[in-house]
Amino acid sequence: MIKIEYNLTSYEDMFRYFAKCLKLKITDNVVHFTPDKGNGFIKLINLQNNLQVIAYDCVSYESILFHRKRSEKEFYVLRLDEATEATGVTKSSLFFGKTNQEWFYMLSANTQLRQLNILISRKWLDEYFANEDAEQILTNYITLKSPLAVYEILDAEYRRLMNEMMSTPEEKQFEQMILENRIALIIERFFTKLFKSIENENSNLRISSVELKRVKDVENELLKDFSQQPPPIAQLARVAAMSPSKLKMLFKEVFGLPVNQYYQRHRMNKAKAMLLSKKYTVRETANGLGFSNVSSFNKAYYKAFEQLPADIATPVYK
Amino acid sequence: MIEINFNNSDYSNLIQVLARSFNLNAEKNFLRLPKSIGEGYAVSYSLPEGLSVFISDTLLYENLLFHRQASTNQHYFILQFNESFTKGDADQQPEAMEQHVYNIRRNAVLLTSSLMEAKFFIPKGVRIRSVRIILGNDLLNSYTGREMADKFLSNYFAMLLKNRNPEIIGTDYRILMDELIKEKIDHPLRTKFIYNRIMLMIEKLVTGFIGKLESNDQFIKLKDDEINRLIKVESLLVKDYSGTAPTINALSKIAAMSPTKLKRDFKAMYGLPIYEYYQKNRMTRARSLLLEGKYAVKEVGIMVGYSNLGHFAGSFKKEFGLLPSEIVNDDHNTRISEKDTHSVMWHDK
Repeated sequence: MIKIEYNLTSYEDMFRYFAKCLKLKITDNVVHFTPDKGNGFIKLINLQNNLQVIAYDCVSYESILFHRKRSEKEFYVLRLDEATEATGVTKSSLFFGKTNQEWFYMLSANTQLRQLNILISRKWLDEYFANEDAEQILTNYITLKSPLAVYEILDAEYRRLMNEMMSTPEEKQFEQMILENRIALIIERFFTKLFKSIENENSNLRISSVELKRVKDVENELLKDFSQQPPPIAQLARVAAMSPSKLKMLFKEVFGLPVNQYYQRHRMNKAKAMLLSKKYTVRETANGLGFSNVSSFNKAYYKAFEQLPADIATPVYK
Repeated sequence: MIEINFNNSDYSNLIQVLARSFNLNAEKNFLRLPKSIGEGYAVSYSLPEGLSVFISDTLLYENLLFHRQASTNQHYFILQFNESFTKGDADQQPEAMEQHVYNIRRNAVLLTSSLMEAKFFIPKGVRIRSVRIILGNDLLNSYTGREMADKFLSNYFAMLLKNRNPEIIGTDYRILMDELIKEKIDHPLRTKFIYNRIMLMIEKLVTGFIGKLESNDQFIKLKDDEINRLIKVESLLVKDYSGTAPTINALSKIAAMSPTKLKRDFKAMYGLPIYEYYQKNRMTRARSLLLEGKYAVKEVGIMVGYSNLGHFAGSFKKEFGLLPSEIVNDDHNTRISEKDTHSVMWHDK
């Protein structure tokens, strides 16, 4: 397995770094996989409007683990992803997140990957939202929401736009224009849908900004340290200065899950991240996350991901 | 005949000029025609990169001539899309013979330069839906590269000067026009929505034109008059899908051509046989209605003339490879969980 760790917020640099990690050569902002490593390409695209895009249309014979480390700079990534594994199973998704969070992306060996990553700076977004009806709501959302991670189905319309970009004809004369316009449509579509879904959520959400801040404080407290038992609701309610029943209700409205399930979800994600990093054994991971024994960790892990920790802890060589 | 003179590169100025000429009050770049003058409205938008857009849907009671004087100090282009609907069959418009006078019914898609004088004749009694775009000289350069922009412009204007019609309104333009020609565009990211569609129209014009140029001149070799009649047939064909499609016989009467000639020339001009073209447009219309997210699949089916939902779904799938239900914008259903992806995200506080 090839591991690539990065926290770069310039795709120019990142692209070069990826090429180096994969030991591949860059020609004209394109990296072609050599026959011994796979096939297809990774491409860097600089757009007129200061957006940077990295596009993948490739198969790697070795699995690659991308690990984005936290960056203090405020950038956002919109990722469209369609991966067909050797078994024929296709997973596709759209993801939007902030670079001050960590994430992993696991590309297993022999998977046909088609992926678009769009890197967007905060300044760009502010200008993009400026003077639009959605400005206030979207700006608040990306500022306050933490963690900021939106997963969506990669629907037919997104796939159509992606296809139109990937299969530009042999004559490359209009490539730039076609790319610019499709990327613009993808971004427009994403933020339009995001705006609508926030509106829907907020229409049933009756919460003052003071309460919202307190619920966020509670969330902070809850996820602070996974090695300890989570604070009891009563204690969290004191942090929030509200009754336990009110806290439970508001928490679920804001974060979409009850307090304990939310805690468990993040604890298991952390577990998966630790295992994927290969720096920790299953036992160490279980201990680090406050499980008293490995078997209860296994059970919880299986419940979350329908696989056992051991399945990803030991690398599988094909 | 009313004559309007202007040579500004900003359409909000044209709204003001029109308001003054008709003694009206324009609010926020929006102008509604009073009953004494006609029906409809005009609205202008200023967009990023110096783009200015003028959108109108009007029916005037008097002939109107727009006179755009040549500008010597500023170089920009004017791109317009005009779709017209006549009520009767009568084609009473005078044929303009003077140079630089464009009949917007014949040149429904028209690109002109600010360096040349141009007059556009708007006939009375005809409903006209328009999208007009002013784009700076460098916009094309930056999107297509200078070499391509030069190639496109020189070939396009050469063709225009020879009095040929380089482009017609087909399905793709019509979808974009339908999205833009509204009194009020209700969209949370309005400016970007308009800008993106305008850019698609420009893209389509340039790529389509160069495509035809390079595939050895697939420009229509028909007489003007025949082109006009075919345009009429096309607009009739795609006007309304709720009833049954007009028969070839009925269409050939309107076109005053034999059915055989009509079928052959229609295909040459629009790229598809008549009924395939009809069906394609009908399905595309259904698709954009579904994407608007306001209607249920069943409603859309009825709007495009299907009483049987199964037939609708079948035809739709044949055209796009997907069922109508698969593209309906259901906001509650589009969120997925991390489990269905290859990624894991967590956050340490």
